[in-house]
Amino acid sequence: MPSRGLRLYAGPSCPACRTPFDLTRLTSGVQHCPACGLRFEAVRFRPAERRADVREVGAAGPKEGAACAAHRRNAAVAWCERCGIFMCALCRTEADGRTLCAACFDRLAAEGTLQSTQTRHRDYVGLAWIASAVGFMVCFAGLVTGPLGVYYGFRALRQMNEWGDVGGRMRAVGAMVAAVLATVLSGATLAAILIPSLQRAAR
Amino acid sequence: MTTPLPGPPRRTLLGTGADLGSRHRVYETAEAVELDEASGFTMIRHRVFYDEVILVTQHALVGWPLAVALGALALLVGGMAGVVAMGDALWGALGVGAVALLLALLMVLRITIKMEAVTVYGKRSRVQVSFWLRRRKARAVFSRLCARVLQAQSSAAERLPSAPVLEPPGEPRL
Repeated sequence: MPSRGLRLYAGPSCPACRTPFDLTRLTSGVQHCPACGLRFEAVRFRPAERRADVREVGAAGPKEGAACAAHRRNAAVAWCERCGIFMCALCRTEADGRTLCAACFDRLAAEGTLQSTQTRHRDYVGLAWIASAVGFMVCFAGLVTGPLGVYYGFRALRQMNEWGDVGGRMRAVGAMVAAVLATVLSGATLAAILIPSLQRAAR
Repeated sequence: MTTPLPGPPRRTLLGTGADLGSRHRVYETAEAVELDEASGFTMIRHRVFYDEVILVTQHALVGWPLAVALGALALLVGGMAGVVAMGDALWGALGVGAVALLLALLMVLRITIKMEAVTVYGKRSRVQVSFWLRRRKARAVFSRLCARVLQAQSSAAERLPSAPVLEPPGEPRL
């Protein structure tokens, strides 16, 4: 069963009724869905198929005579920047500006060293908003969840800086402001209850 | 003299959206359209690379989920206004009723002014971003994404090997 966010995708379909398009007949321009009649504008592209330029060792010539470490018949076209083995075009993997062999790519991806292979992240903006909301809704909880919301807001801003995000920072800043308000509100409520009691006790 | 390390690639936020179970943010980067789908405390990132895009569409749609939510809220607040009115607090009822009217008006606006959705279909996944009251921005995003896809696919076609492609070798014979 596919997990959340990994819904099955069976190619382009109508954006309204999800009826699959017949791509052989679909052209650029204004179109109508044959099933639901939705009018939409489409631009059709024909992406080139990826092909690897695999040469045999004998056909590659004297200068490119090294064989791939995994495919002995294939001429090497690069070497792994991590382990240094020779690779043919089939084995060469480009990731985050580095040329790697399949084994090193797998290892670095599993370690989390390759940023582009990371697809799961903590949603700090959402966490900051949840902490703020709990601070508003539950009496005195803002004293704990408010500072937590501010912390998550800072983490969210740092995450956005790391990713080079342009736009969307107001959500994090808004969550931090809400968290501060929740803290102040909880503190004020606590003070409003405690101060008169303490004054009465002092008398 | 040392050269500064290259910074992270820039991502521009195109739009945000939410449904019953998740929230999502769509970003434009130099090589792909990225969808950050957050459900709970975890965010899952999907990418549709420009050199794999098959189709880009733009269409108008009614934002029903928010319209229904606004309608339900208007009914609830209207009901509260009725209860307040029965308690002989006329000004209070008028105030609460005004809020209900505002919500109902927003619902009508949401239904009458359609959203513009731009959908990017790749070979393996798709991303949709919607715009309400920003038709011009939707158009600009549609055009910009199409231009980026065209550029990426043209340069990918130029990089294709011209040499004859050999089949990968099979299992070694012992």
